[in-house]
Amino acid sequence: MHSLKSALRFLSRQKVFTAINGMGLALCLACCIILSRYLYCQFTPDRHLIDPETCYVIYRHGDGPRGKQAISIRDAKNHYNDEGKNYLDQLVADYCNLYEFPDTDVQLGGKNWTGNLLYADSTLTHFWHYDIEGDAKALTHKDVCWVSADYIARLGLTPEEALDTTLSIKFNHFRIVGIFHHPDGEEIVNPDIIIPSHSLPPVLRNNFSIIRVHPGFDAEEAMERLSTFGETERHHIIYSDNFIKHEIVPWRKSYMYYDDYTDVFKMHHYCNATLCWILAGVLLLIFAVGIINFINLNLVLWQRRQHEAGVRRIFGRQKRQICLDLWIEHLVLIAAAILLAWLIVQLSTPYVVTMLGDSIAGTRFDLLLTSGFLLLLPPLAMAYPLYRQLHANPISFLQQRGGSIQSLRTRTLILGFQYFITLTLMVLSLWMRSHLDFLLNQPIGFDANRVLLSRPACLSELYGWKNGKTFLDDNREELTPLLEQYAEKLSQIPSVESFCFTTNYELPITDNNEFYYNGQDEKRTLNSITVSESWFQVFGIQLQEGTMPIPLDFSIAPDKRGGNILNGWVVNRSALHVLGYESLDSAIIRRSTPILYTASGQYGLEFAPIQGLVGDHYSSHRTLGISPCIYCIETEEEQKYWREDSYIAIRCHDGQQRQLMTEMEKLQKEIFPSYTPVYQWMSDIVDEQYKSDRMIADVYTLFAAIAIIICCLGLLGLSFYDIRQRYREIAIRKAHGAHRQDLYLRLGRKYIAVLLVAFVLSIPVTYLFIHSYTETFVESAPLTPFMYVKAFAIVLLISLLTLIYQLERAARINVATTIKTD
Amino acid sequence: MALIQITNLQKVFRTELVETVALNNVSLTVEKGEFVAIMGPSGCGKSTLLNILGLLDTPTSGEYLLDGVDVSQCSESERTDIRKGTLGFVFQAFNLIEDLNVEENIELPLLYMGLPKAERQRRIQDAMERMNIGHRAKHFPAQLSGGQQQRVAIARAVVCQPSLILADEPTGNLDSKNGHEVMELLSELHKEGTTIVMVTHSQKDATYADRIVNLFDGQVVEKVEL
Repeated sequence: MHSLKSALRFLSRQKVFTAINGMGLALCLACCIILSRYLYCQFTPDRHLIDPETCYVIYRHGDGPRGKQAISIRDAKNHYNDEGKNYLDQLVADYCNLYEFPDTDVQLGGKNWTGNLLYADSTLTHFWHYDIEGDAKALTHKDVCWVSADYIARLGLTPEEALDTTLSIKFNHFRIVGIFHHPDGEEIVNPDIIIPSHSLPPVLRNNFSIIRVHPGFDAEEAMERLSTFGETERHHIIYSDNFIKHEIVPWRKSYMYYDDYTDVFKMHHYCNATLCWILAGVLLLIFAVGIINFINLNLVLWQRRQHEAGVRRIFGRQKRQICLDLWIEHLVLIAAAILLAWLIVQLSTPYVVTMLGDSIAGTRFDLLLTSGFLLLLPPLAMAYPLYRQLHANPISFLQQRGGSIQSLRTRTLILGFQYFITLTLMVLSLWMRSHLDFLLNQPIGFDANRVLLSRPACLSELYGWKNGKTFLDDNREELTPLLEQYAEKLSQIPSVESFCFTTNYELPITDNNEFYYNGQDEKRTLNSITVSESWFQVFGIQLQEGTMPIPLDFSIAPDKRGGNILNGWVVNRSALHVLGYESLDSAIIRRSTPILYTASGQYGLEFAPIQGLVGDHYSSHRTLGISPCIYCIETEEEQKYWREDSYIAIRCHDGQQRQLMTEMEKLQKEIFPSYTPVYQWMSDIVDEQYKSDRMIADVYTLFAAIAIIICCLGLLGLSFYDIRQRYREIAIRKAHGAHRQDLYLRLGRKYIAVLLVAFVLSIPVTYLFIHSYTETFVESAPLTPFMYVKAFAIVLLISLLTLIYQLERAARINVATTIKTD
Repeated sequence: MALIQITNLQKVFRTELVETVALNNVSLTVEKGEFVAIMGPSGCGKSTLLNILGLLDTPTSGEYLLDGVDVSQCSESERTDIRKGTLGFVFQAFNLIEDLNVEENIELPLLYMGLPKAERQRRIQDAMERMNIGHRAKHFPAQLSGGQQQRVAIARAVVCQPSLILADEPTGNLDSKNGHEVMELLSELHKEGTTIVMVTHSQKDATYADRIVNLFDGQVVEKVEL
């Protein structure tokens, strides 16, 4: 109690130091709490997973648009012989098949909604623990479902209202028998509605399995072993010219397993590992700045307490008492800082959600984090004062009032280290901003601002399954005339300049195929896409040389076209370059896999000329550079074949985006009133690609700013002490004729020198970091000397503003009084 | 019986460049109830000797018997234990804790002795009354005059009823009137039987002592009985 009283009294008497130190620590801890909570969520997804160490998922690597995807156990088995199938059976103790249907039209309470559907085997509950209100065993029944509490809340219903009502998904009806709650933190698959999988037809896409393996399972060994079964060469199973590789990945790790097939409407969640590592780095730097600042200021404070410590020791304070007093004093200050930090965390939540794109729920981790700070920080901060108190002669504390020059030098050096980290963050922040500007503002080779991707109605296999029939018959017949009508009406909208059907709803090109060129056996994997001629018009990609080939027309039987179904190709300039052609003359290529399979054979394998050359454009993230692209031209009629699942890319007249949206909504109500449309501006899709870049730039800017604040608090505390210590010296100098500017220079130059040294040290560090960060980038913003100058100028200016008050106060002291009293 | 008996005490301060002999084979005996003044020019080793006598520092060599117990090789913890309740200190610069008020400053040694609160209060009141500072009990050092601060420091030194008071130039920071008052207080304590060892530059203050020990260059050069 006496120690506590003494600690509180000391801290309240040293108001300025307590405030500066507590505020600096609170800011640092708030940043650490925000970042570590976010990272904890990212590194521990699916917290409701039961026995996570034994849960795995099988990935298939292959060419084509779905280059890497999770697959089902049945799908995996199909690629092995009987021995391989048996081996897989031995490995797997349990499994659950999962079928994802994102953004599906749902009717509930007489209204149309969209929701993420998950069809799952009844073994789902063997893998995940869901907190369920209602029937927890519903997955063994038919025509029932569970709905998430969040989804129900979004629809404005209470669980009581939702339970026992019927939910319709096109032709199928499901009774809601349970309300499930999402776990805290991230979920790899986040369904709104869970339906028993036996309500589905036997063969479907989007199917993958979570598997549980037996104890002692070794994924590497299993893959090695599997590679020996069937037509395999190590992990590679060769099918004609393509390869397929399987990989068994721990379920939780699959969250970090970045899938380059990024479907914007997908319900499968992935973590951006690069961003997480960057955030972890920033977290460490901010923690270092904050803790060093705290310890440094604490040591300054210790200088002031040496006298008291000496007196107490002379009068018999024992080691145990010294430890207790120091610990309580630090604990009080740190506990106050932690409280303040949590207040900052709560107040900044809306901004953090905007910046990190995720709200973070409170978990046991918060308690662990707070306890960790409370346990670890006091011993860390009190280590040096305790050592000194226990080992130094108490009389030396009495003789040395105030800090020695050496200790002040140490403090200043530590401040320099803080400045080094701050300047590093500042330079990185400036470069990240410039890099983001570069990514967002450079021309991408096509016009994204005027292109709207629309999906007025979507028919996938799910909706088509009715009375045991597949979709390609009934629903196509139902939908095709409506789409014809839709297209007709669309062409009459005044704000529409042109439109086309496209199967690609992301950036134009995502598909990879191998192409032979030079008429030889040389081949390369290049992006390719099958489009109609109007596609170029919609995206504003100009034909620069040659002509458009005669489009592919599958309505004419291949054998009536002399065997070759393709007259020619269109490529962009970089593809022509990659293929080694100088011009279109004699440029020929062929695909390694057929374009058309029919009962009579495989077609499209012959060499055909490159007839048209279009301008380059970026088809993915700018840092990957311009992709060489090859275009296969189809007739507009052929594109109809895909209309049920495809998107319509609409180019509007300049400045008429708003009018277009109004017209589109009218058209939707007229033609497809019962469908929920999906609209996305191409510019938003491009922007979405730079979401993590924006986040990184924001994170660096924010935390560099906080690092500056912490540093300036450190500078304020240190200079407050340092300059106050030198009042007598200042008075003597003034008495001997020193002017204000002389004093400013004398008192401030040390700090400016420290800043300069920190700045010089930060140059190679930031250069090396940015160099290694951009090593794999084809294009990136340059790191210019101006960025360094700007970072230095910003930090210098803020530091001078911090110092100026104290310098001015020091310069104005009364010489006579100071010499007499100091 | 001798309260302090030091034999061939030596204290050497070493740095990388120089070796300074602060005390060179000093031998001295102080009887119980004696008032000894140590004098000598600046840098002769007076304060070093007093620090060693007060167990605030250790000798490089030699023997130090305090009340018949050899304390020259005691550990820091043992020295702290001996200091508590046995030794009282009065410094030239008072060395009061600025954050504690008069009462709390006086209470300091009692806290470390682990006395119950009532006993502490009783002793504090006694000490304050004796030093005539009871009316300043709640004041902080900065609110007191130099003389008052030194009286608080003496109250702090005597509150634990030590058998030995070590005073390092107790009047050095005081004017003559306050200096005189402080010396009267010490003299009173001496008359009550407290052993006092005082370092001083003042010939006048030294006259209050029973004996003067003169130091020069770390050696006892003269012992004068008064």
